[in-house]
Amino acid sequence: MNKLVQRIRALLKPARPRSSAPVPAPPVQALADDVGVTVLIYGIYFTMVVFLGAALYVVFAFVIPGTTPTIPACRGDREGECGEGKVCRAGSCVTEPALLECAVGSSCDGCACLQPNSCDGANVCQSPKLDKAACSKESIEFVKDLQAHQAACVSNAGGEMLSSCPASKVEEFLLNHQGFDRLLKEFPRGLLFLYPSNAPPLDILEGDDAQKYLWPDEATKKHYVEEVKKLSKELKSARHIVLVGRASRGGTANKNFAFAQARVRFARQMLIDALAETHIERSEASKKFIEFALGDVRPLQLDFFLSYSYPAVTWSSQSIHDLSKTLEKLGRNQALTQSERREMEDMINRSVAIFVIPTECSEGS
Amino acid sequence: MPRERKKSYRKFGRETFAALTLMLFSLPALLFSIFLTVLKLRTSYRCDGFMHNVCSSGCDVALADRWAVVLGVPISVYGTAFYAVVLGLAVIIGLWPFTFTPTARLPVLVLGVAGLGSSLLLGGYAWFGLGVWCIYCSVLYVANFGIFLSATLLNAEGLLRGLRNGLRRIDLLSGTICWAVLSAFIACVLVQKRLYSHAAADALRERHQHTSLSCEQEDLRALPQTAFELPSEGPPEVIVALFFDLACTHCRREAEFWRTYQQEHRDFLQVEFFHLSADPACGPLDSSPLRQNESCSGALALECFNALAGGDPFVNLERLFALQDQPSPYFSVQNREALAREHGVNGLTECMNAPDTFQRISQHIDFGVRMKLTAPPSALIIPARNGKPFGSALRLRGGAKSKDYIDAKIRESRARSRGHE
Repeated sequence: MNKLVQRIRALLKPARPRSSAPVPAPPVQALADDVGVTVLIYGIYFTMVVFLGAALYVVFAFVIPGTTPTIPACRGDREGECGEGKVCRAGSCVTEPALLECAVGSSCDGCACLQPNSCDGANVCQSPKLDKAACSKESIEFVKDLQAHQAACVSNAGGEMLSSCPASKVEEFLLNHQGFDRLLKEFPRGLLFLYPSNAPPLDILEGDDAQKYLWPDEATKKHYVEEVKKLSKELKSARHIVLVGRASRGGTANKNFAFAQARVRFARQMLIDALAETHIERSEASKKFIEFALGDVRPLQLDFFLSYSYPAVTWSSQSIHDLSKTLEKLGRNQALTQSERREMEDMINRSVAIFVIPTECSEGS
Repeated sequence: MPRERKKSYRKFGRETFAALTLMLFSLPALLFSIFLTVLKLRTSYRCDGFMHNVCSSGCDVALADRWAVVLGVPISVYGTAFYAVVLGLAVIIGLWPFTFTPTARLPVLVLGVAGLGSSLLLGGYAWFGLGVWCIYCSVLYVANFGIFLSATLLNAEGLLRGLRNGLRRIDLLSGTICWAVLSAFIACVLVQKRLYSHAAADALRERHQHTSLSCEQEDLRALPQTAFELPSEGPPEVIVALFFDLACTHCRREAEFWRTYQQEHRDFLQVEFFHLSADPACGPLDSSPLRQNESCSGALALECFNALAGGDPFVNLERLFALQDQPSPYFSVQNREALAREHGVNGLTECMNAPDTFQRISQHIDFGVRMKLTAPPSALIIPARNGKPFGSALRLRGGAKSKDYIDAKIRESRARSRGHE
């Protein structure tokens, strides 16, 4: 112990008086040959680290497939994903000549006549003819039934989400109303929200634990809202707004029903965002909705869709161009390949049809 | 008798050996601290659960602590700069031992001591302060000890004499080297800070397009802010987050129950109140009766009424709940204005239309939905440690649970917060 104390004292004791010259530095004991060996060791060590890094990269990227999934440059499911002048094709951003939108009444040559407009026999881009709501006895009755169905669903669900009305109940309603789609088409104003595949992602409300796929981004949301605003006058004055959510076939019935619910919920949010100018107005706007989630039952057929005059609201300006191009092909009786037809049918069923029911067609208004 | 063969080994000079060991310790540590910075970025700003997969048993707690961030950047950023500087010095000493060793001894020794000191401080804080041991950080503690030993090896005079005499021997060359070392360290930190801030901003921008919650809130390590909080007398051991809708009659009873219950257990129980309006005007939930009663407007009115009228937030909450006694819709313009007039509150409508108010309510609802709550009233019973939520919560969906049941759940959570699980 004493030895230790002495050593500590010796360490702390000034080596030389302060007044003396600076302590000379201890001599360097390295040998001249050391430098060569050091360079060699450094070289080996750095090379080893680089090789190790490269080996790890090779292992994770190529040997163990799936650990580092190849991320496509784009997914084609959001607005402006590839930047100006580029479009997303098969996971890559490519430059494609952008076609200008044809003005109504002008020739369809060299421009895109965007849905809901279409090129007529004279190759002129025409807007659909919009009649006033007929408000036939049948349609007024139908609106009454819709309201009753909604009330029944709400009370059965204990006041919870409308679109969670069980699929069996919805099917029952559809069986009793064979002309469901036809009747809704009697209301000439509306929109058709279309969604990319697997969107919106199912979340906790649909029983999915985690949201792995993030959709949409701000630009895509803004795109939807801006499109809805084009019909804001009619939507604001509507007595009811009926939302009918669908899903394409492919997954399980439950999953498709969940997708339809999620689509209805998303469309509702976009409508509220577009129609309410203040936060207080949101409550007022939200009272208008009558919602249906059909899942994959009663899919929309392509021919039936062609007769829809509702503007399609898609997720990006690219997608509406693509849709219009396919519709134009169909309108000109050009044959679609099987995959094109299938893709098109899937797309129109990943949708929410939004029908504006004016005050005059709703009894008791 | 065979002649014994005498093997001769090449001996390194002291400085060369020190330079080699410095490099051997600092290069892996440099790579590892870069990895820790990436880990911190991904868990703090991208919430991708990476930390949960690769970093449990203590280091998730240590890396999430406030000490893990210094001046806005993770502490591992300073570690990276430290190892980069040590590595640079090791290369210089190894390649030009005769030129640079005498002048580099002091900065290497200072760095060695600083590294060891930081390890002891951080290791001690993790063990005694947080009650955990960070396995990943231990790798860096070991490297720091190795660097300290190498620095001592480089200084033939020993630790204290090396420091003392080194300071006395400072001349223009050694001063310049010290200045270069300091500048390199600061430059490394600043470059990383810029890269980190850029990556964090990108991640936040991307994230805010999809959610209003922070990663901490998503992982239940923090709760959103609320004005309606019943704090415990000491650091809370259990936090109850009650989610309510002002238009729901069960919620009114539930709020009353939890206020009374908190009074009985205020020594350890904290209760916080959050909006879970099931009016689609406010968020994704939808309940027809609540929608008809404009519960979203009710939530906005409560936030604003409380801010404008001042006083006890719970008295204000009670006043808003009392609108349920009025004709439906409870939170109509007329009812809200009558309430504002009665209490002399001006500017209620303007406040309700302010984006901040709406965002606050949306955040509460997002948080509730994220915690898998689908309808009001609901509650989360969360164990707390060091005053912060800790561990997973027990969910109470729907109200009207018996007091015995609640007692049992609170006891269970309290035991978990004390680590009796």
